[in-house]
Amino acid sequence: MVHAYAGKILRVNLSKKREIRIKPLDMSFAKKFLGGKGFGAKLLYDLAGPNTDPLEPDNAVMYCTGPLTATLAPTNRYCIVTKSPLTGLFSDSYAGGYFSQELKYAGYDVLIISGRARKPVYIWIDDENVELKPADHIWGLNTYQTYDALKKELNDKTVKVSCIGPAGERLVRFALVDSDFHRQAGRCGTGAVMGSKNLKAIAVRGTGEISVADPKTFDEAVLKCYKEIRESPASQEYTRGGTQSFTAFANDQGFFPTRNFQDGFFEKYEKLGEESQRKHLWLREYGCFACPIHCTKVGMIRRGKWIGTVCDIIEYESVGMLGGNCGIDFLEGVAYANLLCDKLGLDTISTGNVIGFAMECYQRGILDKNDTDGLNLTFGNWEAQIELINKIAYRKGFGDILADGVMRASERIGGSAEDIAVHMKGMEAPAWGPRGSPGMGLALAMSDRGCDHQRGWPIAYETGSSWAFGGPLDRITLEGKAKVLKWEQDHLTALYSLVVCEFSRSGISNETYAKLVSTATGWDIDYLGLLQYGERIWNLVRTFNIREGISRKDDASLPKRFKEPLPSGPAKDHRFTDEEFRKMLDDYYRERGWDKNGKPREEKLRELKLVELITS
Amino acid sequence: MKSLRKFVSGCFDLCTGCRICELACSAIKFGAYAPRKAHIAISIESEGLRAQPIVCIQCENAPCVYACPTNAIQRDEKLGAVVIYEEKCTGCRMCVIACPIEAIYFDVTTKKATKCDLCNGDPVCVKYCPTKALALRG
Repeated sequence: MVHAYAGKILRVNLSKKREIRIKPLDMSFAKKFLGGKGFGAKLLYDLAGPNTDPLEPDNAVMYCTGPLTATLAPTNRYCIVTKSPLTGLFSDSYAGGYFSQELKYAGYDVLIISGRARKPVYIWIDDENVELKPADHIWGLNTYQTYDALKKELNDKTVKVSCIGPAGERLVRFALVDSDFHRQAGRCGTGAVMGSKNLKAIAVRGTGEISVADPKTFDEAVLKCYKEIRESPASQEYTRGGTQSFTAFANDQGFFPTRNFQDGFFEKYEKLGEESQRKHLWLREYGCFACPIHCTKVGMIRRGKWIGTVCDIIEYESVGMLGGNCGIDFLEGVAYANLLCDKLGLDTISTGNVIGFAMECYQRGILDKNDTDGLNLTFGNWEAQIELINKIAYRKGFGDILADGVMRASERIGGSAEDIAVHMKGMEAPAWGPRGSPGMGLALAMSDRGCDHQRGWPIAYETGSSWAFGGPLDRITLEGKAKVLKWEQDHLTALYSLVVCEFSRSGISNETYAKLVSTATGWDIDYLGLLQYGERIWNLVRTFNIREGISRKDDASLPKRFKEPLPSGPAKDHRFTDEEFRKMLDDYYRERGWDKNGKPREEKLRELKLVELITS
Repeated sequence: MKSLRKFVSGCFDLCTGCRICELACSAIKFGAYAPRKAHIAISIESEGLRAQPIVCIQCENAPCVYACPTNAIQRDEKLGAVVIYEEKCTGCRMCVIACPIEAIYFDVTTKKATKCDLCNGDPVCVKYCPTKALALRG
C-alpha cells in the first residue's frame, strides 16, 4: 500500500484527440524528487525545452501536491509549474486553501495539462471520472462568478475550483490562477498559460483517503507542530495580523516599495498597515486547510463607495505594491484594487509594479495623457489605478502595453523608460526593495523564477534572526551572505516540494518537518536529508534555466534603480555597485559548486544523482 | 426525567474553517485522512465570512430515532449520545433523510448509517480544534 502519496498521475491533453490518462505514480520518481516543486521541475525538464513557446499548446501546466498534502500536517498549498510567459523560464507558483487536498483525495498526486482545446473547456474531476466539459458559458466570467457558476452547475457547493479570470483569457503575461476565494497562485503568469489552452477552470471532488506509514508517531509530530506554532512569537504575529506586521517593519528598515521603488519609506504607511486594516476592514479569522495559524482575516469595506463589499486581508505584498509603490494611501481603494485583481485574475505584485512604473513615466514626462488614454497617472491617484487595472485585464488601450509586463512595456515605450523598469529576467520586483540588504539583492537575482522574494529572504538574518547553522549576520557587509542564501534556497525548495506554506516555518522546527516526512512516508530521512532534496531540485531547475539560455549576464542584471543611493532610512545611501555584486555572485556560484558562468559543474550534478542532466 | 445528553457544540464565531476537526475525526474513525467521510463538517458561506461546524447535537427529541424502522438508533444513557447499533441498521437511510442538519452520514463501504458518537466521551475534534470553536457540552 502506498502511504503519504495518492499513487496516481492524471494527464490531460486538451488537443484534438482529447486524451485523458491515469498512470500509477512511479515510487522511485517520488523518492528522488519528493513532490510539489520537485515533481514539477523534473516533469517540466522532460516535457518543455527551449523550443517550447510558453503560450503554445506544447507547454504544460502541472498542479503538483506533496507527500504531506491532505494529511493532518499543517500543509495546504498546491504547486503549479509551467514555463512562464513572463520570463520564458521555469516557474512555480503556490496557493493555499482547499484545492490541493481535494485533488489528492480524488486520487492524484499530479495533474498534467497539455495541448489546446478548440473551444473553451473546464476539467471536471470526480474521483476516477474525469471529463472535459464545455466552458463557453463561463468564459468571460470573473473568478468569483466562475466559482458560483460551477458549483451550481455541478450541484455541489463543496466542489473545489481553481480557475482563471478575464486576464488569463486575454493572455496577460502576469495573469494568475485563483482558487476557492482569496487564494491565488500569483506569480509568473500561469493564468495566461491556462488561457492559451482555452482552459477556464478545474473542478474537483475527491472522496478518497490518504494514509500515513506510522499514524501514531505522525500524530505526535503534528501535535509537536501545534505546540511549536503556539509557542513561537513569529507564528503568533501571523495569527494576530497575518503578514501585516511586515508593513511597519519594512518601513522602519527602509525596504518598503515607495513610488516605483524610488524610496524605501512611505510616509503614509500607517493608513494601510495592521491597525488601520483591523479598524476598518477585518471581521473574522480565517484559515487554510489544516492550518492552526489562520493568518487570513476576512473583512468588509465599511466606508465609501464600495460599502458592504466582502474582502480579504490586504496582504503585505499587495499593500506594498498596489499601495506604497503607487503612492496610494487610501485603504479602501487598495482593498478594492486588491479584490479587483483577484477577480479579474491579475498578480497584485506585478500589477502594482507595472502601474508604479507607468506612474513614474508620467511623473518624469516620459508619458503624458495622450499616451494613457487620458488617465492622470499621478502617484496616489487610486481612481486611475482602478481604471488601469481594468484596462490591463481586458487589454484595452494603454492597458494592452502594460499587460505584457514591465520589461516588455518599457522596451515598447523606449527611451529612459527602461531605466526605471524594476524587474529581473522579465519578472517584476516584489515589495522588498533590497537596498540596505545585500543578501536580499543576491536573493532576488538568484531566484529561479526571476525577481522574487520567496526564494530566500536574507533580510531576516541581516536584521537579527538566526539561521539553521549560525547566528545573525552583519547587515551591510557581503561576507557569509552567499552561504546563508544557498541554505535558505535549499531549505525552501524542500518545503515547496512537501508542499508546505512558508508561513508555517515561522513556528515549525526543521527537525519536526523531517519527522513529519519520515513518519508519513516510512522513509528514513532527517533534516539534512531534506536539504539534499532541496539542493538536488534547485540544481535541476537551474539546469532547466541554463538550457533556456540563462547565464551570468542575466544574474548580474540588477535593475538600475537599486544602483541608485537609497534616499532615507537606517540604510540611507546604500546602493548596489557592479563590483560588489560581481563578488557576491562569485561567492554564490562557489558555494553552489557552479562554474563562473553559473552552470552547475559536472561533479555537482553527479553528487546530486542528476547524471542524466550532464551535457558536454 | 430528562435523559442525560452530551454533545459537541460548534459555533461560527471562533471557527476559522481549517477543517482540522474533519481530519482528526476521519483519522480516528477510518485510520486515514478523509474529510468527506468525517462525522463533522465545516460549511463555508459568504466567501469565508461564515464558517459553521455541522455536527450532531445528540437531540433531546431526535428525528433519527423516530425515523429508524428497526430501532437501530438509541440514546446511550452512559455516554449521553444518540448512537447507531450497526447490527440492527439495514441501511435504509431514513435517518439520513430525517436529520434536519445533515449530521448523519451513509457509509458506502459498510452500507450503513453512521454519525458522531462522541468518541467514547472524549471527542477528538474538540481536542484538536486550535481555536476552541468546538466544545463538549451537556
